[in-house]
Amino acid sequence: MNYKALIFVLIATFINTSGQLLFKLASRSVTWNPVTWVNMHLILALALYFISALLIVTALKYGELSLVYPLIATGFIWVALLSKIIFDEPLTFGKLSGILLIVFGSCVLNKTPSKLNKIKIAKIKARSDCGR
Amino acid sequence: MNDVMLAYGSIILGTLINGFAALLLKRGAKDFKLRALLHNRFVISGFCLYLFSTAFFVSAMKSLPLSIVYPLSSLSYVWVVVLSCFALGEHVGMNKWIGLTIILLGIMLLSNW
Repeated sequence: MNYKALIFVLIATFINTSGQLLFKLASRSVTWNPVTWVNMHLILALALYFISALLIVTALKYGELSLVYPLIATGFIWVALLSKIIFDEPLTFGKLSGILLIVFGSCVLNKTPSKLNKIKIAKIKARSDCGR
Repeated sequence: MNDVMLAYGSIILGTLINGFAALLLKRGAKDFKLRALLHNRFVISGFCLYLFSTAFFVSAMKSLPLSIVYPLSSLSYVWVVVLSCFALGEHVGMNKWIGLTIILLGIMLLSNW
């Protein structure tokens, strides 16, 4: 377990979650008129997004992708809980199970292949290189 | 109802743009140098596409709850894997296809509730 990566990715997820809440606040005031898109909520949200992207890149420097990405995906859960508290959005069983499936899916998606699979992938790659 | 359908449409479009942005960043990463960042056409256009896609998400949030829009942005994971398989010819292992299927199931569950 790499603690540096863990700390960076947790801070990044927290900042990302706050960014989402600000995006929601911003969405209330935007219309088809482009001038409405220049508002404090949106600018702040984009700034938070940028900071969290930098933190994620830093986390990736210290830790594996298979650790970092599923932790970012937990942001979906935090956002759902906070939208229940702040925006009074209903948190139904169906919604929660959909979110949990997505988090679980991104864990599977970013799982580092086991040693045996790595050998298999290397073999497939070698074969396709020969074909070229 | 009409606004909601439009919101779902803009999420699909936004995530697709996100996927293309990731492709551009991948292409730009090939000869990435922090000092020459502004001369890296691929990275710059990737960032611009990312920025552009947020507009779609924000407009979707107008008529859908945040707790639906944000998890649905994971649809971009699906596009990224599909695009890197077909456009970049990357090897996509079994675990990725299984992961994608689980994510798609979650997306289907979410968009019904």
